[in-house]
Amino acid sequence: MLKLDNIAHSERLKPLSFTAEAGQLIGVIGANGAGKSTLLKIMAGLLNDVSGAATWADQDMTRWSAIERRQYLAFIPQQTQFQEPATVADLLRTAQINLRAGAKELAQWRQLSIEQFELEPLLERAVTELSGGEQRRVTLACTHAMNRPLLIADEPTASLDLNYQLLTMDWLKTSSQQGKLVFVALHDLALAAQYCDQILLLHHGALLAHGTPNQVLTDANLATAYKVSVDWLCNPKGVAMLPRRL
Amino acid sequence: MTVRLLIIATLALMIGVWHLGSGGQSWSLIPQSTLDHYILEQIRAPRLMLALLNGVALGVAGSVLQLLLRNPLAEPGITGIAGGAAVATVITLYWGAVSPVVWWLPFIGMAGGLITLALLWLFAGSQPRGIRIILVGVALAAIAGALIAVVLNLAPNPFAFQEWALWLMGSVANRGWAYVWLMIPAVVLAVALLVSQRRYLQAQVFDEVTVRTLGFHEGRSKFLLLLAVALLVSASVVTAGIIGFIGLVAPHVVRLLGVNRPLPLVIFSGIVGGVLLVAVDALVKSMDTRVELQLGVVIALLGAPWLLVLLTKQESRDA
Repeated sequence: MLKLDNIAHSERLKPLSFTAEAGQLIGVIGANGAGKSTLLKIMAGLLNDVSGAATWADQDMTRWSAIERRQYLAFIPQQTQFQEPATVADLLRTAQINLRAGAKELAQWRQLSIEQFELEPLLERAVTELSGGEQRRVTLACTHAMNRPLLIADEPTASLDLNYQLLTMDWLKTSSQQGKLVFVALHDLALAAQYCDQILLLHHGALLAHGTPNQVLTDANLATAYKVSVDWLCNPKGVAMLPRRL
Repeated sequence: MTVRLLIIATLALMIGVWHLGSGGQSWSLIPQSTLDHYILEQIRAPRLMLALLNGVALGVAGSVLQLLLRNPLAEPGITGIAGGAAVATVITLYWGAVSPVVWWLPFIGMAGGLITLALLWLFAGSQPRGIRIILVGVALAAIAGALIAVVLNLAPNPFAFQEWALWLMGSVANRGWAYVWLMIPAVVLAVALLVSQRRYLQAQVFDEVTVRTLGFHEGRSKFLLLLAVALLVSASVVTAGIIGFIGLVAPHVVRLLGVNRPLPLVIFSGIVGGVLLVAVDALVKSMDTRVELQLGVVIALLGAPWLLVLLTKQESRDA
């Protein structure tokens, strides 16, 4: 269980508290600059000037050393840039560099992530030669290969085509169903409505609403946070939305 | 590569103003007189070792900096550390007006390099990004350059000026075994630091944010790697003066040979740096000039155009 108690950043996030059980997919939404990335980075231990308490399985997360933190959580940044022409296979191995696990186990996790993100044909290619979407898949696969119980993803679907957007959301959903706790920042509210068990809606660095998609994605909340009104189109196969500027 | 190094090393031992064997008239590696023995053991061998150690040190330092700072222009001079070591040395020379062969002078130079590292770390802030280290380093290097110019300007007489200016240009001539023994502990310590941080070096294939999430004590790892660089560069400056370009060129040569993974890149940059410096020093020795040219000058004269040629080749390959 993850418990945040009055967690705040001196400039970018007002005090925020909530708890989340493992086995859930939690969406973090909000307009540009609302504090989504800040919240995720705080949980990943990447920011200074943070106050409040955070516990994971009754351990004080704020006291974790970099290597301890590594044993519990994996983080997917909003953007990754590759400068070094390393091969995809090399990157997958390097992503596991600080994990405490047997070589056999690590190799198995790598194989699963290669299959999950269909990277077999790219394994020996230099990552710098790949397209933006392919590089994104490599980043996601590296995180998959870490196989950590707490997964934090900052807009993982950005720059992916429709097929891989759905594939990525399916992976996050499956991971949560296997008992991981997954946080994902999303811009696509239809994906959020369709996949997430819970949603945190941020507005101007504060938590505006928190609950199931139905509780959070109300007309009033979306008008406040995004300055839009939305017509929802729902059928048993999924959800789509038609936003209009207010 | 190793074979080439051996061939070049053998040639380097043979070449010089005095040709070994048959009274200095022809080339041979078999010493035939006590004079030959003396030249080989006390002049050529330490000179070869010092050139090799300096080349390895600068090649390794350059590749580590380029990886760590994510900048293909990074080289030992850009951190200001070489300048700091040189400033400390010339200022000591000025105050004491001593000759550059006093035994404790190198330690002052080492201290100057390490103090510059401390300043670099202080101004770059905690958990510094690569570009910030470069900017602070450029500023420190500029200060060091200005201070060196001031000291040269204040030189008490033309002989001192010439002596210090020549020392700054970099050379491994007439140093003797003492300088080799001086350099070895610094290199060993630096290699130990690099080995202890090898995983952090390997992780540099990811961008800076991703590396932070991979579970490293980031500040500590970066500092220890910069400390290794500072030891290598300072040791090089105090034993041979400022030898530029090796640190910049060696990693690029290695990359153009197709080696890109971090650890092989560092190792091969050391080997290429060593081969280059020994080869250029052999050339310096064999050139029939009135005064022997300073190694650092020849390296820059040959290295800069060579880099231009490599870059042109790379561009035509990428096109």
